[in-house]
Amino acid sequence: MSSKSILVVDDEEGVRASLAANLELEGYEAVEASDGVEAVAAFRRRPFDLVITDVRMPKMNGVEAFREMKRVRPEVPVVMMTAFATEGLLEDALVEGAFAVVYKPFPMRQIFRLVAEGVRRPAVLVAGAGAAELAAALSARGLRARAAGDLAGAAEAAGDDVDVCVLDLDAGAGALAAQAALGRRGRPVSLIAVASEAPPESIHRFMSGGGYACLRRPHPLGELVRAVARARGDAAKS
Amino acid sequence: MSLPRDPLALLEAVAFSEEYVSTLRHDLRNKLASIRNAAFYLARRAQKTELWGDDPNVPRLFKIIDDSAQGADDLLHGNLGPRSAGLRRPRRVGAAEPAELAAASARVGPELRVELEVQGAELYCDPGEVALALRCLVENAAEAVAQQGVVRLEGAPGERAYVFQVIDQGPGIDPARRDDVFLPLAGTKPGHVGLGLNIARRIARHYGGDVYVVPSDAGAALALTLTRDLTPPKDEP
Repeated sequence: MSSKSILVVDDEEGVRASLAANLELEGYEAVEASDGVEAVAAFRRRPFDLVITDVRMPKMNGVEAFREMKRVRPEVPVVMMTAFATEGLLEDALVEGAFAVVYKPFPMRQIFRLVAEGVRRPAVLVAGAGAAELAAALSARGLRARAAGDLAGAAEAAGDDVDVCVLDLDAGAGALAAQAALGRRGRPVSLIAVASEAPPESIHRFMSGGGYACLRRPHPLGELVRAVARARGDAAKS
Repeated sequence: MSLPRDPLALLEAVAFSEEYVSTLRHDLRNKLASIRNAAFYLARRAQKTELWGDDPNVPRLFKIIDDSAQGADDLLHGNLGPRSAGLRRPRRVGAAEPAELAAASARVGPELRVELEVQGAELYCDPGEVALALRCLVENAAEAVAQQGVVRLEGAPGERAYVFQVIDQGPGIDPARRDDVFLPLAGTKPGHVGLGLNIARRIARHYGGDVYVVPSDAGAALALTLTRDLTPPKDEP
């Protein structure tokens, strides 16, 4: 079986080379690019299974490169990495569907977990009222997403390929039961709730039960897309 | 005879320090990432040798490197240097106020004239802070024309933002280098550290705006935008 190929993009040679060397030792094929222009050229030349790119780089920054790559092959996950604690450019990429974000100096184990997840191209499952519309909107942003028929069937619908589940917390006990059922699965799933009428007790129970985030409706789609990317990055830390 | 006091001196010192620390933090994190990744790689290679099991100092060494890199990063997350937020005094001001202050306090040569043309609009901001951002752009433009001739500081309200522009008649900015002018500490002018545009951009972004290069046939033009929202920003009382 051929190894998965990863494009590593960073103008900081030390980060780029050490990251690529570690990925190769892990069994991946790593190709290096030192800025966004080089990265986009490499991306056009051949397919990659995943891209890890720095944000701030000369010539073309990581966010512009991400947009170009999305135009060429929107299905390829792009992980953003940054050495800035807060970064406006990064927020743009997350809203537009970047796979995840990691902050330098990251533990290599986090990268390995993230890459292993990313190359599987995991899906977001949306369960509850308005699930079909929300899943379609997430798909339009380049995320793999699908809707579950109802909350009760969410755990079963999650299958093996879902790593993030969006639950309609306005369903109350039904959403919390779905959370519990998803938690009993062998495969961990990050849970994000959306709510407009849910009482504080439900939100507290959801968050104290291991929920990753709770977004109040009406929330911009970008806020949910960003929460999915952050959830994926944080899940790889554990 | 005493020299006239610079009204923006304190704001500038803090903004400079803030920008410098931010750049330092970023650069150090990159180096820490390189060290951490390289140590991880070497440790994995060493684990495949007898040395790893025979000498307990070998795994200990790699643990010390990783712990030290993590410890240094934890320190970087803490408070380093002063913060401009404590000095910020936002209020409703006319757009001309920060522009006039910037022009009056700009440290430019005697053969350079700063021309102002600022259309009225009310902004919610610290006028000193916005003046500092504009002064950085004016002084940057003055350097581009070797401290001679005219630099224009214009301001006009747009649909969703107030836009200041600083225009010079210098050699202009190479289109291929448009992004590079914002690289911190990469200044090419003697005696300049190269943080002025970053300071201007940091201030503009605080007010929901940005600094960007405006395509120009002659000379260079840099625009600084501020959102015209008259309500106080989120982090202001």
